[in-house]
Amino acid sequence: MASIELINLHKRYGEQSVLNGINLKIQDGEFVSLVGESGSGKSTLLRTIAGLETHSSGEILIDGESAGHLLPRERKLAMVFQSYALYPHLSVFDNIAMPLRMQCKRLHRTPIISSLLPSSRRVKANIEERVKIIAESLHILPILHRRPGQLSGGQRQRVALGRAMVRNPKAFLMDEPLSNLDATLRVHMRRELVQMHREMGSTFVYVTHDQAEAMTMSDRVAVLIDGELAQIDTPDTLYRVPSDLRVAKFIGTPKINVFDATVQKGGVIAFNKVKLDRELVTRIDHTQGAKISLAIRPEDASIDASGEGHLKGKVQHIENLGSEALVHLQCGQSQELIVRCSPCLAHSLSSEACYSVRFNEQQLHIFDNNGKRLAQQQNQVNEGRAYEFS
Amino acid sequence: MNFHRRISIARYRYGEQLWGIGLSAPAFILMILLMLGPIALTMLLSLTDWQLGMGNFSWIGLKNYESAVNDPIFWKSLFNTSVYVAVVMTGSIGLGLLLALMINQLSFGKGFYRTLFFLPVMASLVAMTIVWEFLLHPEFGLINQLLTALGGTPNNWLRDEDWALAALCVIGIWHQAGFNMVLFIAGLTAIPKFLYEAADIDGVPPGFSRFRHITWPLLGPVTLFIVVMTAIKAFQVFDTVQILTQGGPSYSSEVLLLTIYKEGFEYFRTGYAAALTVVFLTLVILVTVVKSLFLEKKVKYT
Repeated sequence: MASIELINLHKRYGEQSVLNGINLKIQDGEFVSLVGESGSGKSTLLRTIAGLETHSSGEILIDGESAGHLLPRERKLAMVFQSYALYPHLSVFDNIAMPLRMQCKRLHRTPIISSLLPSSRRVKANIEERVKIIAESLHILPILHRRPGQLSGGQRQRVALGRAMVRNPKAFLMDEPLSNLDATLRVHMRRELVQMHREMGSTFVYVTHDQAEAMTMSDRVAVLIDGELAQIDTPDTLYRVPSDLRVAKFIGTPKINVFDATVQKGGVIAFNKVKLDRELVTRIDHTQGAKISLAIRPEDASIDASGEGHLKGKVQHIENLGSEALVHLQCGQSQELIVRCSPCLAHSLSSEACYSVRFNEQQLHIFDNNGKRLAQQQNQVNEGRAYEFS
Repeated sequence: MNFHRRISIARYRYGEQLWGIGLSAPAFILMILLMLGPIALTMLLSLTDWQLGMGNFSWIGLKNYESAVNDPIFWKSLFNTSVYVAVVMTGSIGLGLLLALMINQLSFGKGFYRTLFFLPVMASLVAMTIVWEFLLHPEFGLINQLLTALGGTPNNWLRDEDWALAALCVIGIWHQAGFNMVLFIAGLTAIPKFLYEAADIDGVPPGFSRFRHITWPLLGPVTLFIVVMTAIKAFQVFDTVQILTQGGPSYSSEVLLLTIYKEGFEYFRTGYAAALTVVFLTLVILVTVVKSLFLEKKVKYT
């Protein structure tokens, strides 16, 4: 069990910067997910922690001790690879036993000499016992003698986990471990991993591109964008108070709706010829004429029967998901808007017709020109969603 | 049931069968003419006393095999061939693996070294053998001159009973190592990088342990292929022997293919040569059988 701390971590490939000043402290026993689109550097970050990649500058502390110069095996971390990376020529038993055997003294590992040593029988028995315990807990006892090639995806996944668990590592690093499984199994393994984490109380660093995985499993989620740590927060805060427009766009399905707007005289925000409520406007300290972005989650927008909403849109397409429906509207030339509503209401809408859409202004996220959240809004959102719009 | 329908299905099936037979016929006929036919013919010939150019022959049963068993030259030849195969196989595979491992470690210049060591494979063996003849020449050969310069005793390598076969082995290794190296490099590239990363994490120390636990087992299928190919090629050694020693001195470098050639085309004892060919063929087939029956299972991991 250990904490992991990254201080101003940089990695460059020649001119190109892959990791750009990452500062991240992962507490002992915490489950932290690294999410981001492909190419955002999340896998590189994980591999740098593991020691499989070198970093250009910065510090890696494991348990408060500098580990940046250590070889992967000296860091005592376990890693689960996306491809599982099981040794194809070894049985499941030998795969799991490999890290233990490598911990033995050199003499015990030498083929002929080891059989002459009296202590080697005890060492062997210890390894066998340990592997059996792990296999038992992962329900893979019956397949210990098989080779990885004869296993299903889910079984391979378990073997990979077993190999990681077997020597009580300081932390578990997982590189998209569930992405090769089918959908049902993935959801199932998600729960099992969370349970495993709870039982072991170990530190987990989990890389995924699937935000649903990150949101459902982790204590905290770190969003990486272009090699930078855009935000690290609990899943709830990340969703409700994104500190960056890019984070807001990345987290949440369907995507958050974003509109361009300008600050007008007296701090009034104007977009689509609609002036926003004065109360909200006063929270913005921005110079006149500044370009800003407004973002609203699909569930915070609603079809307004009175016809006096914030903007009008033409229904393009309705997705009925059973428990909810997503209404895609076209507003103006190229602006698209998604509204989440009940399937019942969606049913009453007619395609190609125009409807007025109203935003829950309390839930409106405002970002400046650089995509940074405008700070004033934060308190208001933290107060919760009790506000009813009339 | 619909009778006409059944007829039409049968007719369709028959037509399809005819097509299938028609399409595979050229390959089938060629195989009979060029491979199975000659083998069968050789087997039949080995039971006769036919001599090249003679109009008539008689069946003599297994007499040819009997005389082979009683022929010390045949045994000498078989023994030499076995020694040659064993030495060239180990030598060229070991050297090929070593070269492949070293070249694989290079950060640059891989292509250069790969080409360099592959050159002997691409060159015409007959031409290269003549070059070797000059290298091994007792008076002005480079090897003897180097030896003299270093204070050693020069030798007439190809005319020395103790050295003739050894010299041929060296040439055999030199000729085959490059090919094996290329195959090993291909095998090494096919080993996924993440396995080495997993090994890094699991604490497998680099160097020999890593080779023993990861590289060598995963090279298994390639190695097996190389072993079989090298063995068969080594069995077929002929060009170098014919050019350099003609089996001498006093049969010390006599090999199977050379004996067959001499018996068949110099002494015109075609029936006897055919019997030796059958023996040769059996040996080659034996290698393949051992490979597919016993070794293949050990290196297939799925």
